[in-house]
This record gives sequence, structure tokens and C-alpha cells, in this order.
Amino acid sequence: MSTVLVIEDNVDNMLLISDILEANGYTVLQAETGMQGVEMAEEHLPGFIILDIQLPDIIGNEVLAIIRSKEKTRTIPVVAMTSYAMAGDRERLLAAGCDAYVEKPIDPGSVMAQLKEVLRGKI
Amino acid sequence: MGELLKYLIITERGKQQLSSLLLILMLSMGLVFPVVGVSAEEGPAAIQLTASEHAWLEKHPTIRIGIMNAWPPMDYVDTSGRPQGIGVEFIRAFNKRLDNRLEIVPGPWGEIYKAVKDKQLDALMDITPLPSREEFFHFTEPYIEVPHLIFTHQNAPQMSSLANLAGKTVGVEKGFFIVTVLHDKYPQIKVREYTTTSDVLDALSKGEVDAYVGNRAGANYIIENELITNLQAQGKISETSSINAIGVRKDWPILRSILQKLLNDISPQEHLQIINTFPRLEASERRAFANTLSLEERTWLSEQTEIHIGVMNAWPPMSYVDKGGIVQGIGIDYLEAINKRLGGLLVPEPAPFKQNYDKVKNKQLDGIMDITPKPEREAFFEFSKPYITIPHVFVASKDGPYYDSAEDLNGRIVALEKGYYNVKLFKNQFPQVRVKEYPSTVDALEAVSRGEADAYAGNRVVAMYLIEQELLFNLAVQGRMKKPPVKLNIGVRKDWPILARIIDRAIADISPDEAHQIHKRWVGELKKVAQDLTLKLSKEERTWLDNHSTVRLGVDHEWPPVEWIDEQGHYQGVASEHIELITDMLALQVAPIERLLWTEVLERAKRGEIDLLPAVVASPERSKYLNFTSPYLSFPFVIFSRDNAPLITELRDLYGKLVAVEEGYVSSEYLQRDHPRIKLTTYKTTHDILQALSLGEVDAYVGNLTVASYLIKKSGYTNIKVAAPTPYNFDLSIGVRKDWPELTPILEKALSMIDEEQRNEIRQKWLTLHYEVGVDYKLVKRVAVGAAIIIFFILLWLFFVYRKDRMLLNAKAETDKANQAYQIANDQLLQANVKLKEMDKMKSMFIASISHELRTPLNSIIGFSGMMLQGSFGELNEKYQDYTTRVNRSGKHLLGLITDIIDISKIEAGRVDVMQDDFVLEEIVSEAVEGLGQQIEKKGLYLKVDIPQDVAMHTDRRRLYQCLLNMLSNAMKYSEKGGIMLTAEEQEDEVLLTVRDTGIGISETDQIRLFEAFERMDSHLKVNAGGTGLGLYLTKKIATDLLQGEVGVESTLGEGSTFWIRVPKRINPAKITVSAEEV
Repeated sequence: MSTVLVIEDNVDNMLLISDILEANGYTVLQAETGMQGVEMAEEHLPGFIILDIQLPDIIGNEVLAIIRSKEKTRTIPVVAMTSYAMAGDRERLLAAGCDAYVEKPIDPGSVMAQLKEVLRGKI
Repeated sequence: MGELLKYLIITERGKQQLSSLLLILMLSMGLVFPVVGVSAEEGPAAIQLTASEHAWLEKHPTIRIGIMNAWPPMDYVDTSGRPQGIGVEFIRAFNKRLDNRLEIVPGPWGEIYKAVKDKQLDALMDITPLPSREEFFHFTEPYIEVPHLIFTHQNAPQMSSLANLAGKTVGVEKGFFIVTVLHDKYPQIKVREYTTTSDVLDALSKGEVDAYVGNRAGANYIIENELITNLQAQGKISETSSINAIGVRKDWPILRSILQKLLNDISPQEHLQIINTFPRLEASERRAFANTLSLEERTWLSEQTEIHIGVMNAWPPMSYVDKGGIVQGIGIDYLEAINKRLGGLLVPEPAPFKQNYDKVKNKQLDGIMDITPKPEREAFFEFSKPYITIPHVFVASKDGPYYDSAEDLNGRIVALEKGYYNVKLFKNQFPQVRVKEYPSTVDALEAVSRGEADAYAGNRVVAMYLIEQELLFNLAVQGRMKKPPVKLNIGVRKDWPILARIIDRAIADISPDEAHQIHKRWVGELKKVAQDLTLKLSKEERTWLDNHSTVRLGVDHEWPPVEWIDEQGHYQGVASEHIELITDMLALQVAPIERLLWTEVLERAKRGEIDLLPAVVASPERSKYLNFTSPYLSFPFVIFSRDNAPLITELRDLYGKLVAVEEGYVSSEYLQRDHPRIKLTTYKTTHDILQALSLGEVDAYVGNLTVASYLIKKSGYTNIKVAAPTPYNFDLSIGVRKDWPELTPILEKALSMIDEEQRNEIRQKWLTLHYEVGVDYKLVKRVAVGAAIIIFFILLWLFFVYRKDRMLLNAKAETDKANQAYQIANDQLLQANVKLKEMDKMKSMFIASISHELRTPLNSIIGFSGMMLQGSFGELNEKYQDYTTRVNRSGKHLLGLITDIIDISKIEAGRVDVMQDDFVLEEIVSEAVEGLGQQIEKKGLYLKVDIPQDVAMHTDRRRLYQCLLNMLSNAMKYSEKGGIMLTAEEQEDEVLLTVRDTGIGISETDQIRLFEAFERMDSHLKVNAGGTGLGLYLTKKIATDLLQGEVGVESTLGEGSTFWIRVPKRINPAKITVSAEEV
């Protein structure tokens, strides 16, 4: 469960969140596209998934839908991490099956606490 | 000091401290005492015990802690009698810090609970802190929290919350907190209590209860370990979760405090490690297997070249030869695990049991798998210990009675496998039960399915596998035999007892985790039991089909590529191919299909004039007159718009716009329900809609991506694009007339026969077009590459445009009053004004859409500088620390600026939804005070609050809070002494909030400009107060544009200011501008 899958297409963001997670003792798996993320989720069954919503191939909501529809991966907690902060995004993502929602830009000082808070009891 | 030295020398942590201590010592010669002082604080500080706690520990060299003995993986006793589990791991972690003072006492829940209550035990793990328990226990903070899930049979309908369980029977563990929750909050749910989780899941598996509600970790562990294949996890419930804390006997609060300190000392990493590494733990403790063998055993093994073990060739899933000729099965996986330890000497020899049995007797084979030790067999075999135990169950008709014991079968017929031990058992012990023998398990089960026998008795895993495999859907596990579970052993030839002993060692060496992995793999395998067999229907189903050989289909005549009727009157499309396969399988005749509109199809279905709707979305409305199969086709709903339409990213962007949907389609049902603010208009066919959309008669169309894309391409509508996704899907099922309930399960079986490959083939044949789904973010990105560079231009442009707009409006008002001579000029101004307004809208949209792009680089700036400041990968020197702090702070400042600008542009563009919340004014005031109170105090200011109680509000809570927070933080920023007064007053239907400060004050000339953008008073006032300069402007925008109120200020330079906001207590819904229209 100490494995986290990060699905994110921006290399900077990927490096940042990976470093933060690794500094906190997690093993990070990286996926750059939605479909790659779906495959890796199924293969590695990570403890939780951090999902960027705007991806090059399919959008995050679809990634989420696929993850939720597969027997093996349906209960893996998914945290949406996005700078797509329009009104109602949060509700929409949560309704789509996200367990939690963290807004970018992330603050390394508080993001782990935030993750733990939103995933309380799930990891 | 003695404690300190002991700590430094003995513990791992201490050793680290010691080495850093030495280093510092060398560096700072002579400064020994201060250094020791520092280190003493840092070292054992983590578990800093008070003098009295130390004294207490001195007096209590042993502390006894209870754990549950059968609640894996939380806590349990493993097969070798050792306590295991997450709670146990925590105790082990404590013990490292407490000189192994803690003694683990496993026991059943009731027993350890009572023992602590009676002070015979000192504490217990696994307890949920409840007020009712506080009389007997002191609780630490929880050390783990696991969600509770609803588990059901895998074919059960969706039950995602407790509310869905009304009227159902739910199994739970006796005495668990969930019992109380269900009893108090959901009296409509019938509750059945069981002793262990394993018992409940068993009951669920055989249909005794409809659902189980409980701890996810525990249930999954048991499902995998006991190979219960027909259960699924459904929704997570919010009412309870397993919160495990430590409960301490009531007379020892000091122990609670010590244990809490120990818990606090466990770092998040260590905490995670405990939870994660379990139950893999044992694997790492395992010693090399070879070392556990005696010299004699090792020598014997080294003399062997091959050892031949007979395995069954047709006993899936335990042991069988698959289609590719490979030996497979749970037993085989165990054999492999043993083989690994024996250096690969074992060779499996698949054959029928009886054949292998005789061969071992004659020493032609060396051993046999899956044999149960019996006295009469001992003459020929040496038996190993069992490698697996599986309960024996009764399998009988789904609708028939349960059998609690074999006696319940008295006078009835039981089907058994010839030669199996159960035959003897029944004949000897239950002579009143009639036994019929069949050559194989499948034959025995089929006999029960046909009604030839009342029940089958045998191995649960095998029976459940075959029920799925052979699609014997009228059978279910209907009870558990009261005999001990079947033990499957390995029997070896009588002259080789040494091999039996070696195998025993190997079996003992298989860790619970390794066994767990084998089971887990097979639970997965069993779930996807092959479906490539022929369709199996029951007698009743066949009879029903014989009596209903012709069906009338209801088809949408123009819904390509899903379904349509071509010019020759042939039924075409994805659905038609599925229907063709199904009707072939079931030998159904299809009546000629009429060319009908979809609304007519639905009408006729209501009247019972149509039997089957091949492609229909299940909805509550439709289920009044139709039954549905599970969905077999799924298409996403998306938003279509014209190419030149403004940016649409979600359904909310369509508020106030005219959106087309097909008459009678489920899309209108969904949109009316979830987005009543969208203006809907209906058309008869998709084709009509696309035409209307193309011509600009409607703003957008919400519909099936596949269908519309097909038509767009076919008809060449080049100005229509896919604008954005929606959360909806067309999940197409087959609809069946309500008075034919028999047909739905038959169709379900037929559908399950169409495998993935066939489905894909059909889809590919009809859906070979490729579509761009969603917004083209790549393009947006490209546009925004330059965004970072031009941000300043945007900001300037934004506010120049805004001001010019204002001026023009004023000018227009004046020219209106002037006479005709000015008419021409006026017209020009009007035109310019329209243009400006357009530009203004474009600006707002542009800003909204690039907000994402601006935040992305900021994520790097704030994020990486934050990481540097944290020093996660090494310390920064002082200078760089300072620089990085500035970078980080500027990044955050820029973020604040962007957020404010986006807010303003959204308000101006009317893209902000005004929420209508009910709340009490006090709530937001205390939230704001809580948020800022500390900062205000830090600055040495006072804060007085005087607001009336119980002022009921009905307005946008978040927005009002935002205004209040803004006013308070301004007051704080500009006040250096004195303090802040916050008052509220009810004025008829309005509330007046006033924030008075004793700050620098504002001159009258400045007051006029105060509420405009980028007006910050610091330039004159030499106060660097920070902030974006947009706060008051935003406050005013919110107050007037959204909350239907006003803001103002009274101030005298040097004497402080009073800012106020007046808003209606109840927002007037009629006046909420649906300004999305303006965009």
C-alpha cells in the first residue's frame, strides 16, 4: 500500500509530486497518459492513485470511470489533483467517483497532511 | 542520566543520536554540557515521560494487553499459535521502546473486553472508542481506521448505501457497533448476528442474508483466504468505520498517557510500514528451508532424481488438466510451493484418483495429492499434514430449503460422487438419507439441477466452481455440513515415511502470506470462469421459450449505428447484430419490424404491443413498464456545439442556453433532473437536431457520441464539434415487457454467451470512425504557451477595457439626453460599446480558460521552492533559504492574484453560480474570527465581536464569508495598534455587517477610488500591507453582483476606518441573474 500511482502528463508536476511522495516513504509509479495509468493500476494495484484531470489521451473522468468499472481496481482510492479549478469541479469529480480532490498548485509543506486528511482511513 | 546513557547505547535511535553527538563534540571542543543538554532534549524527547510515569513503569515491569484471537488481519492467532496482526505489530513496535514490557494476551472479544473491564487485563487493542465504553476504559487516539463496506452476492443489484438495504436482511458480527447503528438508524433493515466474520460471509455466500456490512480489510482477507468466490464489495458506508484504539483499564489513566506517547512516537512512515507490510511479515522471518531438515532427510533428498506424485486430472479448480494440456489448480499451486522447497524433484502425474491411488499402493507412483487420511488407507500410505482445509456444503435448488445438517435430508436423495468418502459417511451415519452415486461431481450436480436428487454434498470450492462453469444457475450453496472440514493431504508410498516428513516440513514452511497469494490468484480465476460453453437453460425456461417462439421488436428506425431500419426494411446496427446472435441461440423468431419513431415505440411498449426493445437505456420511468437486462452496450453522452461557439467545458456552461435533445430520450430525463437551468427543446430525430444545430437554431446538443459522430460524418456537418464530455452514459440494455419476467434471465444468459471478442468485432464493424473526444486541450495549451509572457498585458488590458467600458456607458447616457444633432455620434458610440462588450466577454472567457495554464507553472514554482525550504533532500544555506523563501512567497502572491482575477472575471462574465444556503450568521462570523484570530492576536490587536444571535440567513454562504474575511483581514493589515470591532445589525430584511478598525484611515479623495481594482493605499501610506489590490474590488463585486447588497466605507485619515456590507437576509431568487446567457 505504500505504492502510489501518479497519472500526470506534465513532467514538472510529475517530478514534484513524486519527490514529495518518495520523501515521505512511498514508492511511486508514474504514468503519463490515461490509458497507461489504467493499465498500471490494474497491474500493480497501488495503495492509492493521484490523477491529473487533463491528460493527453483520455480525460481524467474517463480514467476514473474505467478504474471504477474494473473489479480489481474499483476500491483503490483516487485523489484528483488538478488546477482545473472552476466552480463545481470539486463536486463533479467527487460525483464521478474520486475519493478526494486536491487543488494545484500544491504546497509541499501541507500536501502530505492534506492527502492524509482526505484519505483518512483509506490508506 | 542513567536512562539517557542506556538509551544512547542500546537503541538504534540512540546510536544515531550518539554518533551525531560525538561529531558535535569534536567540533565544539569543550562545550560538552550544552551539547549534551540539547541532545537529551532531542533524543528521548519523542517518548518524553514524566517523572511519575517513569516511576509507574518501574513499579510495573509487565503490562498485559489483550488482542482479538480471530479477526485477521487486525489481530488473530495464526496456525502455529502465534499472535499476529496489525495491533500485534503496534505492540511489537511499543515493546522496542519499552524493554519488552508488554505481554500479548490473545482471546475472544467478549473475554478480553470483560477482562479489562474487571481489571484482570491492563489494556486491549482493537477497540472502538465509544462514549458508552468510557465508563470502563480510557482510550488512546485511534491507531488505524478502515472503512466499512457493503458486501453482497456478486449477482445482487447495486446497493451502494445503507438506505438501499431497507427491507433486506443484513448479517453482522455479534456485539459490533454496526449492530447499534442499524438498529437505531435503519429499523427497516433486518439484522442477523453471527459469531465471527467468517460465519457472516459464509451465510452471505449461501444466501442466508442479503448483505454483510463491515470492515473492508477483514472481509477481503477472509474472502481471499477461504476462497469465497461469489461475493462482491459494493459501496462504502459513511455511518461507521473500524476505528481501532487502545482501551486501558479505568483505574490506570497513567498507562493510557504512556501508550499515547508511544503511539505519537511512531512516525508516519513506521505507521504505514506496519499497516502495509502486514501480512507479508512472516516471509521475511522465514529461515532457509534446507536448514530445517535433518542430515538424514537432506541425504535422502540428494539421492532422489524424480519423485512422481499422482494428481487428479478432472477436479477443477483443485487439480485438473486444462484445454492446453497443462496441469492446473489450487492443489497444483501448493504442490509447486512444496516443490520449490524440495529443489524441483516432484513431478505431477495427472490421472483419475482411483488409478493414482492404486499405483501408489503398488509403489508405481511415489505419492498422491488430495487424499483424506483414513484408518483403512494407512496400510498403504504415509500421510502428510493437510495442506488445505475446505468445508463441505450442501448444494441444492436455489428456491428450496436450507439444510442445517445431514439429518435434514432424511427421506430425501443426496447425489454423491462414486467412491468418495461421503458415500460411506452417509451410508453409515445417516442411513435415512438415500444416496445416489454419480461418476463425477458435475454429473452429481447436474442430477440435482434436473431434480433427480434433492441435494449434493461435497467440497465447497469445487461445487461453486462447477456451478459457475456449467451455468447451473438454479443451484446454490444451501447449508454447511456439520462434519469437520475436508482436509486434503498428500499420501506417499508406505515405504517412504521420510518423504511424508519432508513434505510436512515444506507445508509448515509455506507462510500464511504465500498461501494467501495462491488463494487470491484462484479467487480471481474462479471469478472469470470461462463462458465459452454452450447455453444452458433450465427445463422451465425451455418450456417457456417453446410457448413464446415469436417476439415483436421495438426499434428506433433512425439511430445509426446503434440500430436503424434501412431502405429495404432490414434491421441494422450494433444492436441488431447482438439480437441476431441471441435469437439464434434461443431459436426465437422475429416478427417483421415496423418503421416507428422512438416515441411510438415507447407508447406501444407501454400498451404491451411490443415484446422486446433491443437497445434501451434503463430508467426509473421506463421500469414501470419494462424489465431490463444488464447493459451490454455503452456509449458516452457528450455536448456538441458549433465550431465558433464559446468555450464549453461542462454542462453548467449551458445554463440559460437552448439545448436540443431527442424526444423521449433518457437524456432529457437526466438533464431536467440534474440541470434544470438548461433550456431544453426536443426534436424527433438526431438528424433533425444536427440540422438545427448546424443552422444555429439551438446552441448545443447533448447526445450519444457515437451516433451523432456517425451522422455528422455521414451528412457532412462540418461546423459541428464535440465540445465537452458529460458525466452521463448511454448504457443500453434489452428491455422486456413487464409481464414476461421469465424472459429477462434467459436473455441475460444468452448475453453472457457473447464473449468479449465477438462484442468487439461487432463494435468494430459498425463503429470504425475515430473521434476527437473532449475539448482540444492541446490547442488551448499552444495558445497559452505565450500566456506567461503576456500575463501583464492581460492584466493591463483587462482593466483598461473595463474602465473604457465604464466611461463609454456614462457618455452614452449623456448623449441619450442630448438632441438629434448628436444622434450620429451616439450611434457610433453604441456600436463601439457593443464591440467593447464583446471584447469584454472574450476577455473573461480567455481568462477563465487559461487559468489552468497559469497555474501549471506556478505549481512548479511554489512546489519546488517549497520542497527546497522543507529541506527534504538536504539543507539550504541561510542566503539561499532567504532567496527561496522569497520565490515561494512571490509564487503564492501571484497565485492569489490569479485567483482573484479569475473570480472577478467570472463574476463579470456571469459565470458564477449563486448558491442558496441556509445558515445562521453567527457561524460564518465565528469561522472568520477563528481563521484570523491568531494573526490579529499576534499583531497585538484586540478583536471585539458583537452580533445578534440566531440571525437566519438564506444566501450564498461562501461568498458572504469571503467578503467578511476580506474586510477583517484589511482591518488587520492596516492597523498597527488598537483593535478591530465587528458588529452586525438586523435592519428589517437586511443585515448590516460593520468592521471598524483603529488603523491609518483613508482620506476622502482616496475613499472614492477605494473599491476599484488595483487601488492599494500603501503608496501614500508607507505601509507594506501585502495583498493583491483586488480585495475590496472583489468584495464589492460579490456584494452587489451576487448577494444583491452594497458595501461602503466611512473613514477619517489617521483615525481608522469603518467598512460595512449590507445584504438581504434572504436572497431574492428571481433577481439572481442567469448571466451565463450574456457570455
